[in-house]
Amino acid sequence: MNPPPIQTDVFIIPILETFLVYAPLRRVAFFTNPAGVNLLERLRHGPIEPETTEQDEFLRFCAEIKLTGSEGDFPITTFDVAEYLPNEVTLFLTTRCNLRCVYCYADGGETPERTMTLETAKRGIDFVCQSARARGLERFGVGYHGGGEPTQNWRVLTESFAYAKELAKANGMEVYGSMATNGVLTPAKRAWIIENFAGVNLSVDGCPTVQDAQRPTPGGKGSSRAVLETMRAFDAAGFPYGVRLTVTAQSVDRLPESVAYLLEHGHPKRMQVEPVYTLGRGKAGGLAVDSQGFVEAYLEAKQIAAPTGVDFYYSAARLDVLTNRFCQSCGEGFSLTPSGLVSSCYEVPDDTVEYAERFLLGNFDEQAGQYRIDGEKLARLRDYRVEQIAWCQDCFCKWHCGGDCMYKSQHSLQEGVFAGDPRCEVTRALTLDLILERIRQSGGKVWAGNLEQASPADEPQYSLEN
Amino acid sequence: MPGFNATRPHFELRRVPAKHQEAEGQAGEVEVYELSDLPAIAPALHLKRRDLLTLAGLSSTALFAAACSRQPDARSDPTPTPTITPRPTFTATPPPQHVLTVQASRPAAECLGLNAAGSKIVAAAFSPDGFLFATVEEKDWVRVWNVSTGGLLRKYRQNNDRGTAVAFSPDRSRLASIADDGKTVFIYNLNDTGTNERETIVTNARGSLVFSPDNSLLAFSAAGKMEVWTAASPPKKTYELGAECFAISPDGRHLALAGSTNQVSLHTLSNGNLERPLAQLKSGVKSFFFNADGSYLAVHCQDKSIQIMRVEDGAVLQSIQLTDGDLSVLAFSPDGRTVLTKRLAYFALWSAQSGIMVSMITPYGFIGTAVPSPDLTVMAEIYEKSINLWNFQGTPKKLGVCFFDKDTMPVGSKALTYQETDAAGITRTYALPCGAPIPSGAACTCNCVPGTGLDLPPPCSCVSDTSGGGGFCSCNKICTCIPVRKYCFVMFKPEDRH
Repeated sequence: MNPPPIQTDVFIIPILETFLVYAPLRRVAFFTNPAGVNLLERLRHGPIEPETTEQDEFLRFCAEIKLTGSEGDFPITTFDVAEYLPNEVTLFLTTRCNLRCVYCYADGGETPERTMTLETAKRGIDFVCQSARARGLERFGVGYHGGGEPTQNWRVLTESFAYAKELAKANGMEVYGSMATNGVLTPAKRAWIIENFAGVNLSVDGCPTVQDAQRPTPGGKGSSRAVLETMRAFDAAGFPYGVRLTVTAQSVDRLPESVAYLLEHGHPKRMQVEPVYTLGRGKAGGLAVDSQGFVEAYLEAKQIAAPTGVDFYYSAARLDVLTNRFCQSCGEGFSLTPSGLVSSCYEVPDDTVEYAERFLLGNFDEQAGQYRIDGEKLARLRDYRVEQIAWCQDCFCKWHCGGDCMYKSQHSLQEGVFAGDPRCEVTRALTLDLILERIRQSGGKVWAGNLEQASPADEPQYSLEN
Repeated sequence: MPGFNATRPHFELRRVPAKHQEAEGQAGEVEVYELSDLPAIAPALHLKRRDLLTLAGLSSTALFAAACSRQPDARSDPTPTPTITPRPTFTATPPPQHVLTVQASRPAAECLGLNAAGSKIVAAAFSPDGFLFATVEEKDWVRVWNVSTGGLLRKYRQNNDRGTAVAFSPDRSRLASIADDGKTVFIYNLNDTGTNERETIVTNARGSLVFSPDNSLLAFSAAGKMEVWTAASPPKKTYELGAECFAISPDGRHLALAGSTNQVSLHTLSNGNLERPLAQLKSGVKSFFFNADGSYLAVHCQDKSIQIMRVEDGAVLQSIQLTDGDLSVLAFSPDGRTVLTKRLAYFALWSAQSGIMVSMITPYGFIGTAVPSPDLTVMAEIYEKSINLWNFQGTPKKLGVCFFDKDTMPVGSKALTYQETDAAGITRTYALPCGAPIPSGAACTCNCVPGTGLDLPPPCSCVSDTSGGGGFCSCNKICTCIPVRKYCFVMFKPEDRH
């Protein structure tokens, strides 16, 4: 018996009176009518003989764009290695913070103060250096992240990274440093960052009105001037940085203006825009932005950003990514809380946050002199794949968002099962926009990304320039 | 976020619901649509709030009229109000007939990767009737194009000099360009098809460059001043005035001038004599535009405002306050009722009557510098070495007019390129230069676009090569290689070239 011509995931998205056919693993999308969808559905079950000239042309069209046929699926990325061998450590240096962002997921600055010791940081760096060597890698990474503002534990930050550089040098390796910061920095700190790190992410929400309202100092003063100074210093030094904007119900209407403002006053390489997470202080009433409003503002802002060439994105809409996991939280992440606990997720910066127990994998065993990782927890995290999430099975975004953020999904469980949340609406709308953009860029009829790609083995031996 | 709609907007492949079949007719034949077939879809999918405003503003004058009707009526409002000096009445100029129609049946994507220029285009201009388009490049070349077909009509070499501005004479007989970083103004005779002879003015020109409506004079801004020369052979300086910012009235009688003191004045174009001061502005002037009959000036000021000024008495009838940003003012609309501005990714039309933004135009994917046609029906997008035309009548749409000079695509370089980089960083290119052999082992089709030198009407014909390689695309055509099987792009060795 002949195999069915369609052997890949195909999703149908009704739009007005037409249907968008989307095969994410073949990178194929086009619009057709009900007759076209029904013909495709028949192809799912087995070969058919065309009954009309139009059907014959349609079948040839599907073959040309590689929608049909047994070969052509792009690979889905998953874990680099089966073992738990992280090559990056993220250090949550402190819960202290010099801002009081109204939506802070970690309640930064308002939880009992905890700061990481240099010894704890060094242990984590040792671990990822060894893991990277075990994997045959020539470099490892050290990142600095919240709960609080990493630069508030400045001594440990600078000394730990100096240690990482020495360690890398001793092992013939490279180390790359990165950080998420609020950008309220002294000139000396800016200079150190420029000198030492490969890049940073600045959390900044846009024009001064928005920034000052959403990201004030503990005394209630604005932070926009200080952050702008940091952006200018980075730009002046040619230092690569990204910005991340959090959008609330209060700021959503000003998102286009905020994006324009930041692009007029700085030159970030990346611009990530996210709706506020309803975690920590973000649970406060009135901050949550509705999905439709966010999508509208995002698309408007995206158009403003387009001419500048900045990489403008929302984390879960990523058409070029085919994966079964949203991020490394699902069993690859290695982060250390201030007290030295191993967390797999950036959003679990210590053991006080909700659902922390699900993401805290282990700790350092002083007697054994090594990290002790809870294998059962690790397995459970690794099992959080999009293939295992019933809600996602029929979703056309599933191979791109990989089931979205595992930590946030914990807040949307119904009887222990994920049943979608407002981010799904945002992800779908923005993924759909990206698909339409590809169709437009491909001439307006069909996006056949599989004709535009090749595996490394297919690289031409000779080019026209030879 | 607030509660969400759990209904899924899509479904995995299965027969479509009966309600859709009823709408479309179950017995309908299979069709594959193009986005352009679905004009109603795009705005709905983009979810842009301002699309509604755009559509309303572009398709009718309803908003304009509404804005006028919102002006306060003192008789019906008993509330005491502060004394406001009544503004003089603004009368719009009747719209002229559209003179330019560009139609292109070719999909705009076919122009992707085509180079109009050999180096970055730094300035461009439409001819006053909109039929010709001129570009000046960073290095060497000035080119003149047929707007309707994208065909190259003329090209002139500028001695390796960097161009900075270009302008047509109203009768289309001459073309002027500023080159050599402002040291030289060249005047080319467009009627001369072979000699490349030109007039030369050695000066310190920069920025603005414009012929007088009767073709007799050429005005340009220079360092701290503006100069007016005769456009005859040889050109002679007529006079110079101490201000860089200027505009010539459509009837060719007046010259509006703004100097460093923010004073706007009116001069006689023929001799430069001061006729009268027009207004003292609070801030410096960036650019000027007369409306179609020369009765009003749109003055773009340094303080991010546009002052609508009546030429008759210098009265400022309206002040349009622009938003922050690097915003450029492009033109008065032909009917004189709106002023077109551009900021980043979108355009805006501002009512000259009320000062409010009446519509926002967001041509999706417009990333370059904008050069409007005189009647504002077509917008040229200049991006690096390429030119794209956009239809600005109704919903903006990129036109498939391919500006292409084969000399910018030497054999050995990528010609019609379309690149895509995947998540693994692999980039593939699907193109062959004109005249290159089709690689052995590749099954290709030839996709012809108008070439250069001869202004052939599209479509030109080309025999598709489906024999598995070995064919050639002849000169004046460009071959797009579309891989239809694996290893299509395992390229030939250099010595395999014929």
